[in-house]
Amino acid sequence: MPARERRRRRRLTRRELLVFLAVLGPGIIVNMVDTDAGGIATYSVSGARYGYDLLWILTLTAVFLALIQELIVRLGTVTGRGLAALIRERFSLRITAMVMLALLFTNFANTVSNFAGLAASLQLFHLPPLLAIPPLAFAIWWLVVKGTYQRVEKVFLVVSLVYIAYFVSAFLAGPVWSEVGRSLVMPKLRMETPYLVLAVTNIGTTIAPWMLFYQQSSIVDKGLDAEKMIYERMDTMVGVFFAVVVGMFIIICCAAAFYYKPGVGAVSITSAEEAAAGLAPVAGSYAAYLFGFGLFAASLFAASILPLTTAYTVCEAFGWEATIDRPYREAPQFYLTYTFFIVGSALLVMVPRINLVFIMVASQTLNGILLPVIVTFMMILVNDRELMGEYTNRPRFNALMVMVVGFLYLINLALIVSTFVSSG
Amino acid sequence: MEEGQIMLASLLRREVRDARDREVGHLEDLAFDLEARPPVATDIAVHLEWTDRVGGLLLPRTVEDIVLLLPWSEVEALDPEAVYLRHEHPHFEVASSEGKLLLRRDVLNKQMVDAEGNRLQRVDSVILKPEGVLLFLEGLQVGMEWFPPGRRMERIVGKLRRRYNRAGEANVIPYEAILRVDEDALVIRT
Repeated sequence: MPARERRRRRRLTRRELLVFLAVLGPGIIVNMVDTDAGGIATYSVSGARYGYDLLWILTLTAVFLALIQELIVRLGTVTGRGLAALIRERFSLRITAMVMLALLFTNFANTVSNFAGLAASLQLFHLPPLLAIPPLAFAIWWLVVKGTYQRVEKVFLVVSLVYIAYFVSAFLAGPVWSEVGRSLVMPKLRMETPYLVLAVTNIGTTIAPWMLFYQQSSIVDKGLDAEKMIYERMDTMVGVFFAVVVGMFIIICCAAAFYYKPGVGAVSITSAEEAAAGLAPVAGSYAAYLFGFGLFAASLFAASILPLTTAYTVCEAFGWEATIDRPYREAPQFYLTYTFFIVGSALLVMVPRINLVFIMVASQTLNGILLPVIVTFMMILVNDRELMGEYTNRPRFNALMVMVVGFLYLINLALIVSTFVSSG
Repeated sequence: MEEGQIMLASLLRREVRDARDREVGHLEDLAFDLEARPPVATDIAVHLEWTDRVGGLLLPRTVEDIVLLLPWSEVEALDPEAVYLRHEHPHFEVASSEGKLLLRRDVLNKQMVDAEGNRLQRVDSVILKPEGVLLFLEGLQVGMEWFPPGRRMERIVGKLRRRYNRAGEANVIPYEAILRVDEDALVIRT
């Protein structure tokens, strides 16, 4: 190859890298924010109760997540419209309203659980939630409402780095890496209801319906078209990889610190804050603080994104103005939804004796019920030749997706049954 | 909704029967001439169960599940139960869909914007008025009984109804207020 040609190719590669860096964002952010307070709690409990035995579920989840997000990338870049808009245009107002109602309820419950995570992490640093939550809620509201979308996105990308805290915590806990490696690829199925419920919850917490709406809206907001699909796919894969790896490291950390620690054994960890507090005597105070800091950042991150994406999604479905660049009088529904989510969640976690565990469980169950329904809508949309042209699913991909959706319906059925069985 | 008016959704999927009263398919969409005053239906899109010809052209083999646009002259009667066609299946006249505005595809559920591009709301329903065998466009409904439109939209609709001398309190944007239909949005003259 002539030197000039080699140089030209190198320039092209550099240009492609720059395009990739410009496109970077939606995929990484959505996957990072998915590791929220509920996710951290689920991973912590999984590791503490079952050691590395649930790691293979995350390997499987990574594949599912990548496949589902591939649909989102294609729908967003090819149509240039958000998922809520596409559902509304293809299906009726009644169906859209039902989906939006379910999404509103689920997302609100998820936001509340993230504010609960925020309150719990503050307690780890000896900060009273009643004093700290109001200014934090205001700061979240202010950051999004008074910033521009691009600035907000950059802030969140930087915040994503805090998840490194979990890697460090996991190393400090001293896991047996050969055992970790085996557990990642060797399924260990236990026919026990609590194990199955946790397996289902791990999938449910990693693939949430709101993230699909958020990612597609972000792709549209960034103006990414079919030509840039390859870069957005890479962005998504990077995001999927990091989100799942973070989840795995939380499991590894709690497994090494609680389940396999001589003299400790499987302990009754029921939440992320208990995991963080319990880490101190077995893995050192640094591990506990890092874990708590990760919980704080993840909760803050999700508590900012969830209200924002809900406001965008609902406005998009009903055709209301939805942008943070407009004043309140031009986009009242957008601001009201966003503000209600933040203020309502913050107030709710400050109310004494409110059953936050019930809200968290209900939100996960609804997430689980809603996910296959949303993916079914996506499948119909992505197979619409009029909408997608040459970018419709190939038969093999369809067959694969039918298996994934079928599996999701099955595990959700199992989750619902298990919920009823376990609640008596 | 006022007396004599119908919603587009109530027409969609209505049975379509041919001159021999055989069920041949269902109503898929309606093409309208927006320039006419009032806008009138010009074609009917019928989802046929099968056909072996398109207009005068005989196809090499029978095709199933095909949507054909038939000129309105093919419509014999609009009945609450079915739409009756003038000819026997499959000997229908056909029309090209090129440049045609289809209500279900291009209007229903579409984003409405004002002339400056500000988002208003989506089209929740299309209101039609049958007169004999003809079908006219009355306007675009925002909100439903179970899903009221926002106050801002109510104010805009009220202003438009006064401007175009429409009586009643219905949340229907008169057809005169439709400025144009773009690919991404329906532009309303507010």
